[in-house]
Amino acid sequence: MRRLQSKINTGAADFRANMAHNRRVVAEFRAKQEAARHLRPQRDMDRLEKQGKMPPRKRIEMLLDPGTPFLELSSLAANRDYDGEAPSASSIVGIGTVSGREVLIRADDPSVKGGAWYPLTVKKIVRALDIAMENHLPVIHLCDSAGGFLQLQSEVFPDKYAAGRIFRNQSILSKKRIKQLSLVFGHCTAGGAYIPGLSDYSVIVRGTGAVFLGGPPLVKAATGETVSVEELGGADMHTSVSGTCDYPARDEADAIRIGREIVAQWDRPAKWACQQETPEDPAYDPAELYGILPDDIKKSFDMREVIARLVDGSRFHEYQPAYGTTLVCGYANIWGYKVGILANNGVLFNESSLKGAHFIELCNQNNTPLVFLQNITGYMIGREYERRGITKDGAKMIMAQSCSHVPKFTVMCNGSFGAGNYGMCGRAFDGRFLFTWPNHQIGVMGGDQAANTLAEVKANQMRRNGHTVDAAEIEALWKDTRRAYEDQLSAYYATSQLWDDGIIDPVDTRNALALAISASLNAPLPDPGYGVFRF
Amino acid sequence: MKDYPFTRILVANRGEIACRVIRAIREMGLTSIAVHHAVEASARHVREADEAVEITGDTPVAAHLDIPQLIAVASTTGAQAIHPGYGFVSENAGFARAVAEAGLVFIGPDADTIALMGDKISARTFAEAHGVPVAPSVLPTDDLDAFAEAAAQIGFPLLIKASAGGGGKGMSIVREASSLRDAARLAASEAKRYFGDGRVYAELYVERPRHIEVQVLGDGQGRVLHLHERECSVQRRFQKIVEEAPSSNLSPDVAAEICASAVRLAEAAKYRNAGTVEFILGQDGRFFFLEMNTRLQVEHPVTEMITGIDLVKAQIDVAAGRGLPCPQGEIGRNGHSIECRICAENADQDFRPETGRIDFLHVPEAPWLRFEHALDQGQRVTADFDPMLAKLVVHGADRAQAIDRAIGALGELSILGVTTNVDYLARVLDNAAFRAADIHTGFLQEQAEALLPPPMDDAATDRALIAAALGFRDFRRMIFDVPPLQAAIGYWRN
Amino acid sequence: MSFRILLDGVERQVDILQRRPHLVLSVDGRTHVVEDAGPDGDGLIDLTVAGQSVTVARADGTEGQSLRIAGRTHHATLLVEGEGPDDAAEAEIRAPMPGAVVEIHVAAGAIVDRGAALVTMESMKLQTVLGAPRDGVVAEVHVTEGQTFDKDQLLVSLEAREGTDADA
Repeated sequence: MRRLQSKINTGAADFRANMAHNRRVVAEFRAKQEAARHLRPQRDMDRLEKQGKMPPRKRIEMLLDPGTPFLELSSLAANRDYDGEAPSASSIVGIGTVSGREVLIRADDPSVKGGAWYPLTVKKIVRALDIAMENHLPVIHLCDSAGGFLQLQSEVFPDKYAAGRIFRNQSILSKKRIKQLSLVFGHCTAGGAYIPGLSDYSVIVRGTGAVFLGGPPLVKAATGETVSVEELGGADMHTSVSGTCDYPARDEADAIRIGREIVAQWDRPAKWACQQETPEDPAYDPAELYGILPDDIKKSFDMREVIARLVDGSRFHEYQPAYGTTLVCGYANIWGYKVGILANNGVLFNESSLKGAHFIELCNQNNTPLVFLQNITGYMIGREYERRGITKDGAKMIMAQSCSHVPKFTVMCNGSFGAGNYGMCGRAFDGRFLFTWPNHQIGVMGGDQAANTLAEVKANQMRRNGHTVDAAEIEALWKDTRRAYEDQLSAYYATSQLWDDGIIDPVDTRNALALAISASLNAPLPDPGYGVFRF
Repeated sequence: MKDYPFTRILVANRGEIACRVIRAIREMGLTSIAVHHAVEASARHVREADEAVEITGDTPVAAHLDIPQLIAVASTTGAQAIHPGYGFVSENAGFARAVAEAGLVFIGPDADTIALMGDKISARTFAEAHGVPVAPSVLPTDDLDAFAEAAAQIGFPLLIKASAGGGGKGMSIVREASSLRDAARLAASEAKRYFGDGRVYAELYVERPRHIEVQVLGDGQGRVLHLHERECSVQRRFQKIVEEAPSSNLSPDVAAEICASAVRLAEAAKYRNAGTVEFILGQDGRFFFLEMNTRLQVEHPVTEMITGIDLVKAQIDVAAGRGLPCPQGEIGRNGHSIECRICAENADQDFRPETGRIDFLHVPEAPWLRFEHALDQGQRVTADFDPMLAKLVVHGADRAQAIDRAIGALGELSILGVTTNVDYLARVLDNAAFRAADIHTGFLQEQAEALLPPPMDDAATDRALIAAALGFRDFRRMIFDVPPLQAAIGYWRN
Repeated sequence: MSFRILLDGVERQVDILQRRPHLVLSVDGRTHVVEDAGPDGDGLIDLTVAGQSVTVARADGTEGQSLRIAGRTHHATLLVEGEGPDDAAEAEIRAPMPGAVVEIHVAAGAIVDRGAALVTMESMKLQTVLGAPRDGVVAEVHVTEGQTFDKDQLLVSLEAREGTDADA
């Protein structure tokens, strides 16, 4: 494969301006992430220490094989919710290597409200277990949660994708022979008790670990019975009397040691054989991505420059290089894994839609995973395009993409607006993983367009009602709309709501994609097949 | 050998010396019969012998000391001769007598010679009578008053010993008249306790003495050869651990004089067999008779290395009436040889004996090297037997080369799973005073500090740790059991 | 996950920093490139550390690993995080099933080693010797010979030996 030839001048003023801008953007992201990970009220940290508990991230570090990567997912979940009280949605999720096996780790965070589950915590756990199910990843639960956040119980408890879904997913995981291990460091109360209860293996720490449907206060209130935590659901009771947990551990380190040993017993089902080459670093420095991404979302850039900084050797086999040029399609390798890339270089026209649909079919034909690099303002609109069937051509692309049997991965690089989001494998389309760059914006349309549209609607309303159009009022409306809209367009808003699997630094994309692809290969490929394409 | 007077030899020993004797027997075309206790049924000497018989006893050592049983085994196996090796029954006059009475050939001296030399006093008297210098001394007595008076006549320092003793028990050095009486009383009581014989004797104590011994070979007809001297001054707990031949730093005149004295003694005794006459040598060149060992010595290989004479074969030939291997004039003295005794002991903790399992054994090989042992990988080292595991014997053109070769070979030798003195021996040989041949029997104590393990620098520590880490299965799994992508990316957090 | 190794009595930490293209280990914070980690198992093994070839004799025995490098013998044990005797769980010897005491082998105050017989019990026509789960001193024997007992009844309690480190 030929190397892409970059046309970027790294000395140019716009490159330098972009660089400065995006470094600020990334620094802001890193600061938010650092705070979500480590900034806690001192009293919460003191309480953990007094209980002899490690912070959850330390537990994870100890659990992981040394010198191996950990792909954390949704580190900024809930960052815009609950007044920022639930950093990372009080739950840590990621993919790492334990005893040589790729596993999904899901940890409660007892440093946030005793590990209470907020609605977004539940959403994050359900998503984590969906990931485990879709990719056949064994799950290790690090349990330490006070239970559902009672003030928000209506959002936590009853709905289809609420807490019950966690236990449903656990059961289905087990049915699919995807292993689960619970390490019980703290309390697993009420529904939370089912996490170890539904795990294939469980380890419980003596003294701090406890599992029960109702804790001592609830028992006292309900039946008048007075019982200690240890008696009710402590390590010795559960490992020697009830059989709810399997292994008692004398402390957290011991629990992790036992857990690692349990994982070491697991079989390693073969992955499906994705085409692979010897990995090669990109020929262009990924850090140059900062100079390529524009400092203004309205400025366009060549997605090939991005591809050149993500793929092995910056080598890219471009498919139909002269046709439908607003969608760049082609083959490349990421850390050796062969992938088919679809990247936006402008609005999707009829030709680019047809090219995209065809390329997706080729990749399915070839069992090549798909990577979507989104920077899309939408499908082209207007009379001519509708007459040429832009809707049915877009539909073909959506059909091909939706029905793909190969794993799909999406990176939100700069903007994702309108139906382009659908064709390019947005969140709704069951991509295995979806990552967002911190500069990215997402919405049904851009902020300016939304403000313009609403201002236009408002002005028409005024005219219809016989009022003169108040320019100042319209201006204020425009500004308010834009501000509110921009806020919702932000990557932070999206990731807070778990519309993605996390914001990542652009330079981390290559590793994140490779680890995601590697994880995806654990699940056997389903049978291929499509619905009806409209011609 | 058809015309040999005996063809079947019982080897009444075990371990490396049994293997050594069996080897000589095989090379001579004769048949060897090993004995073993049940605990050593699969030992090397059992495997290497042509035949093997189990002997029984309350302890393994007791079995090897059981004279009637050994004689019985010899009879039932049709052995015509018995080689006793060293230790066990090798210097037991009763055994030699029993062997003779059973009509078998004892590969050693006759019982009377063993008895004569086995008693320190009679040996000393005999030596003195035949012009072999002995240290001025007080004859043994249990009359402590008379003893003290006579001892004071000799002067100081004095060495007080148990008359029946050995191995340092009941031994003390007295430097002034005032402490003589107490020391004598103590020695007497220790002697009584350990040997059941309270007699003590005293002799002039030689400061910084060297231990020089002469290998002799007698035909029992009054003809005696000497195979030069050995230096065995490097001792811990009064036991040799490094021996050399020839002695270093010994003037040719003194060497000749010592050898002549040894020959004179052996001739007078009409000595038959290989034997060793031990002397103590003062820094002034004066030497005194210590004792005579009427058997093959542990350190005999260093003599073989410089003379080219196989002492075990010579022993057998002499016992068979075949006479001495060559005239005195043909006995060479080629280069230098050093023996190191490899013991299961902790040199850093007062040479405490150690036990364990030999998890790994690697023996260096070289044309100039003999590694005498009966070890097997997987073998247990127990407290049942002597802690000496093996002997590493090197030859060099000169002493410096022999030292370097020995250090190199010790470095390559690996006996893992039981603590040994291998590292310590290498430090002894590399010690500046040892290299300068400035040695005496107190050398190891004197150099104790210099012989401590040198501190490890970080680089050496880290190398050892890395090697150790890579030897742990769990650690290796942690390194190599990671999928390739994760291994390639390494530590990474997003 | 990090490893602590006791080398000749001194505890050290070894971390795996990197596996490719070369193994990189850190020993107490000092970084070393291991170009060749040598084969698995015991015996004479050649390693390459920081560009230098090192020959090691190695044997991983039941009581740790012995190794010999550059004419020096070392002893190493791998200390696994969290691993060690579990004292709390093992201070009480309880009846594993209902039965009767056939024989009591110890009295209060007896110093026992791990595995020492404490009580012989009989249940369902089968005699079982209950041994000490760890080294200790018998604090109290709660049953007498011939006595019957229920499952989980306390038979013997142990306490730590005085003057000895419970972890030793």
